[in-house]
Amino acid sequence: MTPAIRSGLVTGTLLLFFILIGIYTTFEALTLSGVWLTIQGATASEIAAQLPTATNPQFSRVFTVFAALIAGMLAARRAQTFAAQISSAVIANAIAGAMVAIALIFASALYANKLDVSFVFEKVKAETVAALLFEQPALLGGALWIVVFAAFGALGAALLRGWRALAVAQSLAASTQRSGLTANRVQTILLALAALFLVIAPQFIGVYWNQVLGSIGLFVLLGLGLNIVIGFAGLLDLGYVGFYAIGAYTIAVLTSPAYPFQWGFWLALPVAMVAAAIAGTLLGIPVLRLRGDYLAIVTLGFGEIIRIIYKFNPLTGGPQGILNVAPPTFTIPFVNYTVAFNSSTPFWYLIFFTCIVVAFIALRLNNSRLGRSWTAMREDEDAAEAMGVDTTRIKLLAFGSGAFFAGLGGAIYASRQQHIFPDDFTLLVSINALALIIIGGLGSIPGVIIGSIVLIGLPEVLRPIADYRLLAYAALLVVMMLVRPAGLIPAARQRREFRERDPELEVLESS
Amino acid sequence: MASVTQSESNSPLALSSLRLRPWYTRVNWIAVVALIFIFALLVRVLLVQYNLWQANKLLPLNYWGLQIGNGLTLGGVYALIALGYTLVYGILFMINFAHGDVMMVGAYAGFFVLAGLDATGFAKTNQYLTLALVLAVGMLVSMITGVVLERVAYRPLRAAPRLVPLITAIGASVFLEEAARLIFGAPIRVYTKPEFLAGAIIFPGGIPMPKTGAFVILASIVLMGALYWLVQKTRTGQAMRAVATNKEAAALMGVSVDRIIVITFAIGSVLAGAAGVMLGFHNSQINSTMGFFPGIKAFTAAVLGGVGNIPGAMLGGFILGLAEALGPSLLDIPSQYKDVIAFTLLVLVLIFRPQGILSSQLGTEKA
Repeated sequence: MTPAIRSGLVTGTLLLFFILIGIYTTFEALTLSGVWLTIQGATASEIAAQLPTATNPQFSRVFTVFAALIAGMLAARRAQTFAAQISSAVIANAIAGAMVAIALIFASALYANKLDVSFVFEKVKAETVAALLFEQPALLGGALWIVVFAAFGALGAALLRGWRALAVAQSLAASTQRSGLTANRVQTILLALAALFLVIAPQFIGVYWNQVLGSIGLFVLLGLGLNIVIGFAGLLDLGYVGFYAIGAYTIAVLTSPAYPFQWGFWLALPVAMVAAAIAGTLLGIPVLRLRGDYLAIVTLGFGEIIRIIYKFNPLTGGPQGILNVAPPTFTIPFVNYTVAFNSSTPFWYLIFFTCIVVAFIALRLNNSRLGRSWTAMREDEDAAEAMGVDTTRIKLLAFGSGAFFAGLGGAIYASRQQHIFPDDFTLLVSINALALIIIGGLGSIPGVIIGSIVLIGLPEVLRPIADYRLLAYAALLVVMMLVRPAGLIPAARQRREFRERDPELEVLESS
Repeated sequence: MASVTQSESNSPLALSSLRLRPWYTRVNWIAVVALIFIFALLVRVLLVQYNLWQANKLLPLNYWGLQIGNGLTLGGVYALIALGYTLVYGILFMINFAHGDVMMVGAYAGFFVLAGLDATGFAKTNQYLTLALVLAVGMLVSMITGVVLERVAYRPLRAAPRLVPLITAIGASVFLEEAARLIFGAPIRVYTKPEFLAGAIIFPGGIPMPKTGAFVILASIVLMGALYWLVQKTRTGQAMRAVATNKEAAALMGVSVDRIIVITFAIGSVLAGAAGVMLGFHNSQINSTMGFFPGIKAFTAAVLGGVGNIPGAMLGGFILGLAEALGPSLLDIPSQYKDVIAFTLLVLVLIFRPQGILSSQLGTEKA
């Protein structure tokens, strides 16, 4: 099987998958003006009111063209001569187009014979098939697919060639240039600018964007905590959401008028954090001796147990959860000005400053004696123990401090939402947090921030495709592990680690 | 792999240092707490049942019979899925986290065949053939899913650090779940039972048992027998055992390790597909998240019986099923807590006997 055919089959399979999960249908509801309205902060119903309901092939056609271009580039990337590049792109894309064409012709034949394909494949409606066949008779539409796809594939191959030539020229130009600023200084300036923007912007950008920023910040917080457990100490903790839940529920119980306590937020916050940390440490004890995969399943079980207990326990409101969680109030000393936390802006500041503090703590922890012990344990537990590292103690500390920050995140989450339901705390929260630290780069703090901007921020902007969020996370997890296991912004040590083979496995294989 | 606290006492060096340590560091506190916990559970069972007896409200015998039947049914399903975990773990030392979702894919495939045969009226006239076809397609589609998963997601990572394939497997699990939700739609799909599986068998003593339950138990036992025969008596099985014991040596003896790994995934997935179809008939409804909990519980069952141990996985499955079915009534807790029972059992096993009930060489090395 030549590479071109292989590449065509892969592209075709992917395209069919995209059609099956309904990306085309979704894209037809997506228009440029709709995306623009979303960015301006319009709600779904406002967008629906302002835009005609008729489907619009804008994005789906663009998607097809882009898919063809990229597939052409990928198919051409190995070939040497220009002719070989073009021909392999055309062959690959013609095969992919033919696969789609055959499936579409088949589907339209089924519909013509009154067999409902959408009973099995929900997103493949009769009108979708017709739209995908360019509203032409099935055979003509299929032929069009092959021709269009192959043509744009060839264009993609040509573009790749041009781009490579450009890149060569650019690198030649860059090598003759001298930059006045060192990379480090540029980084500092950029960071300072970003921080300034994040402090000032919330005053101007409206409620919706404040909320998006707040969600991103909360996940940064969660990611930083989980990063301690997974990135620093190498303990794959899938029950992380449990400690988030404990933080949220503790603050809810302590501040909600449904319970006799009715404390203030600031009094309840440390209690929530300590409660989560204690729970984290206690749950760490039975799993001390477990490694890797066993640990993952057991902690996952713990997370579910915590959720189930909250869900079916009348004391914590059962499935209805707890309402009216008190928001914090903050009085600035001397001026006696009280900040009411009644909109998302003050919450954003709270989250922002908490993130900075937690990131600072995480950074210091990583470079401390404890952090180095964690690294040693992550690399090789037996060797670390032989070197005098008290693995029991530092494992519990990792679980405890991770849970501590999860509790903090949960507490802020609860008072920001002002109501919590047990089903806010499913395993998916853990998976989200895991995905963002993996994508950013395990053990890397800037990675956590980039990860949550990409994973939490982007789906907020592209709300029509938010339905595909989890699927995309999952695919990203797999693809990242296959292609770039160290993440987008890898931590220095991880960068080395992932490049080498696992010594433990080598021993295992050779024994 | 040495454990932190217990196995130190095996070496003379550790023994001498033991005398110097104060007594409270020599006690395995985790085990003590766990023992107290188990004791408390037993006391609670006795108290609850005593009180019921006093109040003359003891649950009738046929209720317990029904629950035992339910437990065995669940156990059969768990055991079938657990076998897939155990087989893969035995060879690759990785938890195929997506195994429960492979089962779900099989359940969907079976459903569509069943629905198609129902629509044409074939299912009415040829009940047994329909059942066989549904099972066969479910198993086949699961098998394809499992093999593709191995090829795409796991094989390229075989030499990667331990955490990497595990994260991939978690990703694959969520991916399958979400893809099924998006492709087949979110609403629950309803399996229609063939007529001969509707209703219940009444055992002596007035103990009812749904016919689907009996079918699940019988079919799972037959499949497990087939697997046992395959692994113990055939050449392929011999090769599988060889690869599980030592990959390098097996490769030197002319066993194609890649092929055996694919076969292992295929066999595990076939069993999962059968479990999915059976679960569909038994619960009569399926959705895209149906694989998650059975998957995790089946892993628990595999650990319970001893990971890498085939009879262990079967035993573990049935024990877990019974514990889940009987636990809520014995302890007088709401049945929603049955998931908690499984996880608690898992933790207790890992504390007391991490190598599992029927410990194997592999389980001992792993724990």
